[in-house]
Amino acid sequence: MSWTFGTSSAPAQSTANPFVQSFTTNSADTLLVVGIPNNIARTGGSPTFNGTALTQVPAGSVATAETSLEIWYMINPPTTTANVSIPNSGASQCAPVIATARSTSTPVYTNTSNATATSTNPTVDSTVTTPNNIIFALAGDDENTWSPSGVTGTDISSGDVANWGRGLQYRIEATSGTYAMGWTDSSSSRWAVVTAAFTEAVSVTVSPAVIDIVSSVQDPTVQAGAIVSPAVITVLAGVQAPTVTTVLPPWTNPSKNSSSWGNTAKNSATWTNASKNSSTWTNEDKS
Amino acid sequence: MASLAYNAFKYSQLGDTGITPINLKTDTIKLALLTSSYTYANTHDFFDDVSANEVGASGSYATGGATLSVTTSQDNTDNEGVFDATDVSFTTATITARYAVIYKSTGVNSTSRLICLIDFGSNQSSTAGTFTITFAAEGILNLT
Repeated sequence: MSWTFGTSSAPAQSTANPFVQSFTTNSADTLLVVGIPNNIARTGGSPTFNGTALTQVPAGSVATAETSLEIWYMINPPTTTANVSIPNSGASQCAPVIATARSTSTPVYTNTSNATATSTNPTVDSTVTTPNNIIFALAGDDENTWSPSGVTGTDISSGDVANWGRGLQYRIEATSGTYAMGWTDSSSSRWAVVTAAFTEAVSVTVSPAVIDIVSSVQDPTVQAGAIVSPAVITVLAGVQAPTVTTVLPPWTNPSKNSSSWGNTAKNSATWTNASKNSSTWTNEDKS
Repeated sequence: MASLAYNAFKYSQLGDTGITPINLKTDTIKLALLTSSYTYANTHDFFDDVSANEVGASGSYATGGATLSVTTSQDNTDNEGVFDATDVSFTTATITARYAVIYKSTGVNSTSRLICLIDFGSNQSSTAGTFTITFAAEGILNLT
């Protein structure tokens, strides 16, 4: 992943309202940057490309007594030839510099920085915390014939505009860090610099392995002989057989003389003499 | 450091006086990302033990992380209980994370019990992009 610079255009300054500049984008362009330096603060609203409003870096405008700077951008501009239109209701001297850059994934604006001073060598640091950066810096200088001799990055367009000067440069930096965005100018004058840093979107997918929680059952310690197996105690419920006693009525003599005894019966063959003459029979009974 | 389940989680699942086991299915289970500055200790039990090492909010990643859409199941093929969740993505996020921590969120860090720590093995970074965590086919946690 890395950035490459695209194309640029640096039209002459104009006080027209709107300021209009035709610009052609390439299908590989993923970022359109418009640096707008004016001699005084520009008024009138957001610039557009192909009718779509650009986005301003949060720094807003950075100004000196004789310059006012703005940086606007568009992510994934359409591939076309269309106008960059910059409202300029205050009829300021508008001298934009238009540029494109190309990235392998979606550009992301990251940060801006700015500085103003009266000195030689206009400069400001841009600190980026991500890899794969492209940093643009726009300068304005009050010097009547501004002609810087060098830049810390790659110059896009730097030079004099009417009685003040403008400059746009870029740096492509693969790693995070702090990078000076400066112009070499031996003449001390009032200047302002504003930067806009962009990186490329990076996605990541993490696929962690499953975590195993192993549950184990610990075997208990068993002491031999400790197990007591008591005998079964059986309780029997028995039914006791009762003693049955039969009481017969006694013999009485009258029964022997009962009319139910007949002679025939007495002399029956079933009676033996012995039995008839048994001593157990009394004479009285036999007769 | 290998990914692991916190001791506090193992213990809590057994239950004890004053400790309610985590219901992984019905409780609010969240995933947060930690930087490489986190140092594991087996005494860590609640989210306040790790929150100082959480990555900053970025894109769709908010402090405390994201709530997981959890499933639990019984795997009779591998003879295990499975805790799984839908993959997690944080969009438009600039994040550098070394770990993910999964925990039961009560809304209070000091009572949000830690469940497990996932070690990515190295710092994983997204820049204004999507940070995705794709859980394994076997899930996040297996109780075997």
